[in-house]
Amino acid sequence: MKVTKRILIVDDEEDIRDVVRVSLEEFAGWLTITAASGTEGLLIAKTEALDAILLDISMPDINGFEICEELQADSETQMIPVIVLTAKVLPSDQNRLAELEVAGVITKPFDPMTIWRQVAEILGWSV
Amino acid sequence: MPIAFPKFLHRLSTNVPLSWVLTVPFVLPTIGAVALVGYLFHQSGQATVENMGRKLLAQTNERVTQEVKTYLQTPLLINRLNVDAVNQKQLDLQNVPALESALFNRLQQFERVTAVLFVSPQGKFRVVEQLPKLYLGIADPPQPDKLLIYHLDGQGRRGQLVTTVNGLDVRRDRPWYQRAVRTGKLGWNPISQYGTFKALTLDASQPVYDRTTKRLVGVFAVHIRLDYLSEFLRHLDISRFGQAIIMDQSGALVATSTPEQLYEAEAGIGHQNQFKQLNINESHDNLTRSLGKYLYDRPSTLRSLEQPQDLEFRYKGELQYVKITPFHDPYGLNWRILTVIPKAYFLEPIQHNTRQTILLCQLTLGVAIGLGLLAANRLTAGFAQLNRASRELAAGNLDQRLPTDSPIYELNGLAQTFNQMAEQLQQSFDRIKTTLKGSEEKFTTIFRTSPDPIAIASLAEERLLEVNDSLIEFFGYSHAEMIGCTALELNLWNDLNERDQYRALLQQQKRVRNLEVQIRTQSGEVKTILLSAEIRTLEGQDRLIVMYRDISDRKAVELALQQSEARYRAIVEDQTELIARFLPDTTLLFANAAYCRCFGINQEDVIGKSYSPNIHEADRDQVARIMQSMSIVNPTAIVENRVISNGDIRWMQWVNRMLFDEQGNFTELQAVGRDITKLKQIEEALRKSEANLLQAQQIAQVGSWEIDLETEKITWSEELFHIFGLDPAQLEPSRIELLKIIPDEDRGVLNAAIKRSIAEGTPYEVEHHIHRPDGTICYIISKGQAALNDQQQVYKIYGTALDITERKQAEAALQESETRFRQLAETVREGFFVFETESSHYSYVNPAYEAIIGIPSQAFLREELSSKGMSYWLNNIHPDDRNRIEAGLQRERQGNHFYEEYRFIRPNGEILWLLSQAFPIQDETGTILRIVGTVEDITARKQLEQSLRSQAEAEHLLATITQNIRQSLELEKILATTVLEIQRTLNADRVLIFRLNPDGSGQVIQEAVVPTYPMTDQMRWEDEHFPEECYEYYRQGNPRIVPNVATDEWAGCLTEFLQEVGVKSKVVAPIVQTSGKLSAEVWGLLIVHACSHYRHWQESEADFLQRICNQLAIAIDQANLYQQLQIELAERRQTEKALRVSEEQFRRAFDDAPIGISLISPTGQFLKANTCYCDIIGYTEAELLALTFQELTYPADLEADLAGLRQLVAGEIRSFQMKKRYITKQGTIVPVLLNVAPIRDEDGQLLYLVGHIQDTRDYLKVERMKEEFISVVSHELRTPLTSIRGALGILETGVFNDRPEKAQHMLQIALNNSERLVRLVNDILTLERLESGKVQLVMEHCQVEDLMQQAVDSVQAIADQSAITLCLTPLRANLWAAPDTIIQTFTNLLSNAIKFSSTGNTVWFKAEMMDEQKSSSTTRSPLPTPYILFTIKDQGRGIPQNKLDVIFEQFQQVDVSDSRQKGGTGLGLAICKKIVQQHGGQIWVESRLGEGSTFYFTLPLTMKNESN
Repeated sequence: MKVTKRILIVDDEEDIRDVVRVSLEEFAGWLTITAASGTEGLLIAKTEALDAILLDISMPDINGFEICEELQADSETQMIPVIVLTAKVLPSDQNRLAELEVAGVITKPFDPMTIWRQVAEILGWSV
Repeated sequence: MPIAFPKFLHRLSTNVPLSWVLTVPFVLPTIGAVALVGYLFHQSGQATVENMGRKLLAQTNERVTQEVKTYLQTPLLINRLNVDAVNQKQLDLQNVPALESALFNRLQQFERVTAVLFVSPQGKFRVVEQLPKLYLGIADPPQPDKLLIYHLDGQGRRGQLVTTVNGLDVRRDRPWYQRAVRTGKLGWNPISQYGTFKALTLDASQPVYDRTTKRLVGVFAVHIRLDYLSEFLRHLDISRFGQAIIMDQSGALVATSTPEQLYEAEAGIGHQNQFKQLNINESHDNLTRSLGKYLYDRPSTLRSLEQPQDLEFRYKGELQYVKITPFHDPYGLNWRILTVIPKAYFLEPIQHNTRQTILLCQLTLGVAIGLGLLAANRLTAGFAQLNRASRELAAGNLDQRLPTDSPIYELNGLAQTFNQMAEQLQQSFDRIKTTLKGSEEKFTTIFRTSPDPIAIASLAEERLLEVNDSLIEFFGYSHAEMIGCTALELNLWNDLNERDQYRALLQQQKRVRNLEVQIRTQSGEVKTILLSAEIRTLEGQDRLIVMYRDISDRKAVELALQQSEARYRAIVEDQTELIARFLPDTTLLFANAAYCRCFGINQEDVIGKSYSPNIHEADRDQVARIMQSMSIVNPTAIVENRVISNGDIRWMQWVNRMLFDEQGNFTELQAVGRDITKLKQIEEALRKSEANLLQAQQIAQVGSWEIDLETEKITWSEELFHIFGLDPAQLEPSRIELLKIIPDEDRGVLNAAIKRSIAEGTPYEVEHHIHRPDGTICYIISKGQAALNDQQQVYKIYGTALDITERKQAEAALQESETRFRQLAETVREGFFVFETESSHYSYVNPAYEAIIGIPSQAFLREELSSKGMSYWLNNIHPDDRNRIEAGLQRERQGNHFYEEYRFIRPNGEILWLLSQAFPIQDETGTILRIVGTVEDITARKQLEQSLRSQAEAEHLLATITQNIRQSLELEKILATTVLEIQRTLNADRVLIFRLNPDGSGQVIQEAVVPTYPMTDQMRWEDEHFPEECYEYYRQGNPRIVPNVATDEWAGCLTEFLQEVGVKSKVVAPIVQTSGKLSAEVWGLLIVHACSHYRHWQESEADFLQRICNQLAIAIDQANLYQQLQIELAERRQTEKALRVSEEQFRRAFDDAPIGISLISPTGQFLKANTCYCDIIGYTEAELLALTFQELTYPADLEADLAGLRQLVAGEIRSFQMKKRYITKQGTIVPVLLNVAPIRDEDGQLLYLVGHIQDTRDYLKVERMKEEFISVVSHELRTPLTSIRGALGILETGVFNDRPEKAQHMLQIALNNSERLVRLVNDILTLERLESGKVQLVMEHCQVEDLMQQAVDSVQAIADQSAITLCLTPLRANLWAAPDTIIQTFTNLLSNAIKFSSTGNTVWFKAEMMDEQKSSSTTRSPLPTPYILFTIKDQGRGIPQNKLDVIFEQFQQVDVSDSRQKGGTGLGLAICKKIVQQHGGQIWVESRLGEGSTFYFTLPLTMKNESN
C-alpha cells in the first residue's frame, strides 16, 4: 500500500504557503500541513508524524536556523528531513545554510510546476 | 553440684586431645563461613530484587508520565493555534468555509486528535471528527440544537449528509463550552464518553474574544480519546506480569493496562449524560480492585500526593510492589500513575539460586570436616610417639630414638631434633661422671695434706666427722680419739664465751672468718688461733668445715713490743725538747707533748698529717733542700727555720736524723727541736745596726778606719774598701801596703800629718790621691784624730777618708770647657758679645763682632768699645729699622729673646743686613744680669732673597699671562692684559705689541705706557721692512736687547719715530707662529721701552719676554682655532636646526599618521610604533618594543605574513600587502590591511621594515551592514516575487481551469504581491535618493496649512473605509521646505495611524508654532526656536517600548506580518526620518501599548531666513 507523504510547510507569508501547498497537493498528491509561524511549526513537528518539512528562514518569532537547531537537538524530530525554502541567496546566508544539517535548499522564487520534483529528488522519493 | 561444672571445665582445658585441638578450630570456621556466605547471598538476593523492582516501577512511571504529557499537549496546542489565528486575523470566523477548512486542517495536522470544534455564542457550531472516518458537524442559528452530520473526503470536501441529531445544543449540553465561558481560559473539561463510542474522551476548550470589544466570539474545543492511553499502558513490558493504571485524584480510572472497560453508560448522543466512570475499587479486575481498597485505606496517598511513593501490599498472600506517581498540569489535571508488580516475579530465580547455594555449602562442609580429621590423625600419631620417647628419656632411659620417616616434614624435623638432644644428653652425662671422680680424689688429697688444721663436723651437734693430719698434730689427740666427739667433749674451748660468739656468728652469717679464739690442746697448752668455719653440703648432708691457724708466737712478740714502746714513749713525752717522727713524705707519725704545746695543738689533730704547713712559707724551700741533702752517708742535719705557731712566727732549730730499714731504705725522720726565737731577734737587731752604718758610709762615700797603735791593727769600714777599690771580704791592707797605694808626692804629707797628730794629739786633714788596683786615681780627703786613753796617751788613731774624685774631675772639666769656649768664640764668623747690664758695658766681644760692625780705629780704641759700643751700634742702624730695633730692645729688657734682622750702615757707608739675637741672663730674683748675643752678616742671603723674589714675580707674571691665555680666547683681551702686566712687572715706561701683517704692513695693536710718555696711537706702517738677517733672527725666536736705540744697527728707519716717542733703550721679543704652517713666521713683536734712562736690560728680562711671546704665540693659535671653530659651530648649528625641523616634521608625520605605522627589525622585533599603531593593537609603545609581531599575529595568519617577510628580506619583492589579524592586548582580534616595505642602507643592507596597518573593522562593519541591507532588500523583493511567480505558474498549468474560485484566489495573490513589490521598489528608490543626497531637495516657500490639507485629502479615502475620523488642527504659517517630501511624510504617518486604528477611532493631526517657552518640554534636544511641531496621534494598538527607537530604521516594523496585512514596506518611517532630518528637524514617537501612539516631528522656521 502506498502511504501518502505528509509534509509540513512553515512560512509566515500566507501567499507563499498557499502556492506551495497547491503545488505539492495538486501536482504531487502529497498531504500538507501548514504552520504560519516558527512556534507553530515546531509544535506540529514535535507532535505529528511527518515525512518532511519545508522551512522558511526569515520569520518573526523563531527563524529557520533556530528551528533547524531545535529539531536537530530533539531525538524525536532529528530524523525528519528538512528542506529550506528561502529568499536568502547572499553568500553569507548560504554559508549559514551550509552549516545546517538540512536535506536541501530551494531558493525563492521557485517554479510551482517543478518544486515538488525538486523536493522528491532531494529526498530520494519516487514520484 | 555447683562444683562439678568448673571441674569439668578444668579437665577440658588441660586434657584436650591434640586431634580435637586440630580438628575443631578447622571445622568450626568452615561451618561459620559457609553459613555466613549462604546467609549473605540470600540477603543480597533479596535486596537486589527489591532494588530492581523499585527501579523498574520508577522507570515505568516516568515513561508513562512523559507519554501522558506529550499526548495531552496536542489539544491544548490546537486550541491555542486556533485562537491565535483568529486574533491575528488569519482566520475570519464570519467566513464559514474558511472556518470549516481551518478545523479540517487542524485535524489533518494532528492525527491523534478525535475532533476539533468551534461554537459561537449565537449557536454557530462546527465540528470536524475523525472516527477514523471524517465527518463534519454543522449547527446554525436559528436552530442551534439541530446538528447535521456530513461525510468529508480526504481533501476536506463535504460529502453526503450522514445523520441529523436533534436536541443537542452544545452550549447547553456540553461542559467544555460552559467551562470555557465561565473561566475565560484554556483548560480541561471532565472526562466524558464521546458520542456512541466505547471510549473515554478528554477535551480541552478555549474561548476567543474580540480584541477591541472584549466580547466572546466563540469557543474552540479539541477532543482526544483516552483509550489511546490504555493501549499505551497495555504495551508496556510491565503489563505482562503487573499492572499500570492511571486514575484521577478521586480514584476514578482514566486508563489501565487490563482489558476492562472503564465506565458504565447509557448509549446515545444528546441525552443527559448517563455516563459513569469506574472507580478503582469498583474495578472488575481483582488485583486492581484490591489495590484500590488498599489505597482507600490510605486516603492521603490518593488526595494530596506530591512526590512519588513506594508502597507494598499483599494480594492473595503475595507481596506486591507498588509505585504511585502524581501527575499535575497547569490546566487543572491531577492524576495518579500507578504501577504494581508481584515480588514473586523477581523472587523465583533467587529461590533457585538459594537452594543451589545450600547444597554447595553442605558439600563444602563435609569435605572440610573429613580433611580436618584426616590431617589431625596423621599429626597426632607423630606427637604420641614423641610423647612416649620423651617420657622414657625423663625416666633416665637415654637410648630412646624416634623414627624419622614420617610423611610430615615438621614431624621429621622434630624427631631429628629429639634424637640429637638425646645423643647430647648421653654424652654430657658420661663426661660429668668422669670429671666428678677426678675432682673427688684431688680434694681428698688436699684435705689430708693441708698444713692448716681442718675438720669436718656435723652441723647439728658439731660432732667431728673427719680431721686432717695437721689437726691431729696440732691438738695432740689421735684420729680415733677425735672422730665422733664434739669440741666440748674434747674440752678444746679455753673460753666458752668465745664459743658462744662463734656459734652466734655461724648462725647469723652461716660462716665465720678468722675469729681469734683460744683453745686448749691435749697437753693443756692454750693457743691463740684464727678460726674459720663454713657450712657446706657434702654428700647431701649439711656439714661444718672448720679451719684453724696458730698465731700464738706472733701474739707473744706483739706483747713484748708493746711493753718496750710504752717505756720509750714515757721518756719522749717527758722531754722539754720537741720530738717528732715523720715519714719521708712529711707525714707526722709522732709528736711529743712538748711539740704539741709548742704549736698549741692536740696530738690527734696532727698525727697522719704533713708538717709542711707549720713551716714558714719563706723557709719551706730551704727545709726541703736540706732534707734532700740528707742521705745514709750524711743522716743528720741541723735546720733553723721559722714556724707558725698560733699565728706567731717562731724560730726553731731542729736536729734531724734519718732512720733507715735493713735494706737501707729511708723509712722515717726523727726531729728534735728547740725554740730559738729570742736568739734570732738579737741577731737581727745587730745585723740591722751594722747595715745602717754601712749604708750611711756608702751614701757619704766616707770610709772609716782606726789603727791600734800598740798592735798596729788596722780596722776598715766596708765603704773604705770600696773607696780603695778593694774587696771588703779580704783583710785590711797593712800599713806598708797602704803606703804603696798612696803616691810618693802625697805619702810624705800624709805621714807628716799623722805623725804630727800622734805627737800633738790633734786632728789632721790631708787631701791626697791614691792609685787603685784597677789603675784609676782616686782623690781623697783624709781626716784623722788621735784617741787618748785614761793616761792621756795616744793609743789609737781613727779617722775617715772622703772620696772627692768626682768633684776633682768636675773642676777639671770646667776648666777645659772654659778654654774650648773661648777658642770657639774667637774663631766663629758670627759676632758674639756679652753685655753687662748693671755696668752697661760689653764684658766680651769676639773679633768677628768687631769685624762685622766695623769699629773705626780712629773713633775709639778697643777698650772704649766696651763702654761706647752700644750707642755706636744703635746710631748706625738704618733709620728705617731703628724704631723696630728699639722696640725689640725694650722687650729684651723685660726678659724676652731678641731676634731681629736690620740694616746697619758701616762707617764706610756700606749697608749691611744683620741678624742679631740676644738672650737676657737673669738671677733668681729675675733681675737681668747680662745679655749674651750674636750678630750675623746676612747681606748675601738678603740679596739672594731679593733676586729670588723678583724671579718669582716674573714667574708669577708669566703664569698670570699663561692663565689668561688659557682662560680667555679673546686675543685682544689677552694682549691688553699682557702689555699692562709686563709694564707693571718690569717697571717699564712703555710696552707695545707690534703686529707684522702678512702683506708686509705693520701696526701697533696694543700698548701700555706710563702717562708721562706719548701713546704711539696704534700707529701703522704701510711697508715694514726688516733687514733680512734681523727678520731671520726674530724668526728663530730670539729676543734682542737694544741698549741705545740711537745706535741700533737694524732699525735705522725707526730712529726718528723712537725719538718722537722718547725711547732711549728697548727690548724686542718676536712672536713666532709655527703651528699649521710649513715654516715659522713672525706674527709680531713685543717691545719694551725705557724712556726715562738708558736702562741696563738683563738677559733674564729678555728671556722672560721671549717666554711671554711664546705663550702669546700659542694664544694666537688658539684664538685662530677658536674663531674657526665658532664658524664651524655656527654652520653645524644651522644644519642641526634644519635636521631637527625635518626630523620634527617626519616624526609628527609618523606620530600623527591616521594609519598605524611601525618599524620592525628583520627578525620581527618592534623598533618603533606610532600612536595609531598602539591604539589599534592596544599596547603602549614601550610594551610593544619588548614584543615581536609574530607574538601579536593571529596564529592562522602568521605563515602568510612570514612568507611575505622572507620574500622581502631576500629582495624578491619590493613590498607586500596582506589582510591579516592581530591579537590585541585585551585579547580581541583586529583585522587589518598590512603593507610592509623594507628600508635598506646605501649598501643595500636591510636595516628594518616599515609596516603600515589599517584597521579594517569599520570597513568590514560597513561591508557587513551593506550585505545585511542587500540581504534584507533581496528577501523583501523575492518574497512578493515568489508569490507572484508561484501564483502565475499555477494558473498557467490550468489546474484550476475548472475551479474558477481557486484561480481567482491565485490571481489575487499575484496582483496583491505585484502592488507590494511596486511600493517597495518606490520606497527603496526614495530612501536611496534621500540618503545619497545626490538629489537636492527643491526648497520653496510653502503654506503649512496647504500641505497638511493635501496630505489629509490623499488619505481621506482609506480613513473612510475603516470609518476613522481625521481631526485636523492646521496652522497658518510659512515654511521653507520641499513640499512634496513634507506631504509624503504627513501621508506616511497618517496612513500608518489609520492602518493601526480600529474602526470608529479618531486620528488627530496637529501643527503648532513653538517658541522658547513652549519648546522646553517637547523636543528631545534643544532646537533653534521658533519651529513648527507636528503631531499625529492615534488610538491604535501602540508600540512596545523596546521598538520605539528602531522603528525609524529600515525594515524594522513592530511586527513583520504588518507589511503583509497593512501593505507597508518597512521603509515608510525611515523615509520620514530622512526627510525631516534633511529639513533640519527631529522625529520621534511616544506610545503606550493598547492606548495608541503619537508621532512628533519638528521643522525649523530659521531655514527660510538663512536662505534669504
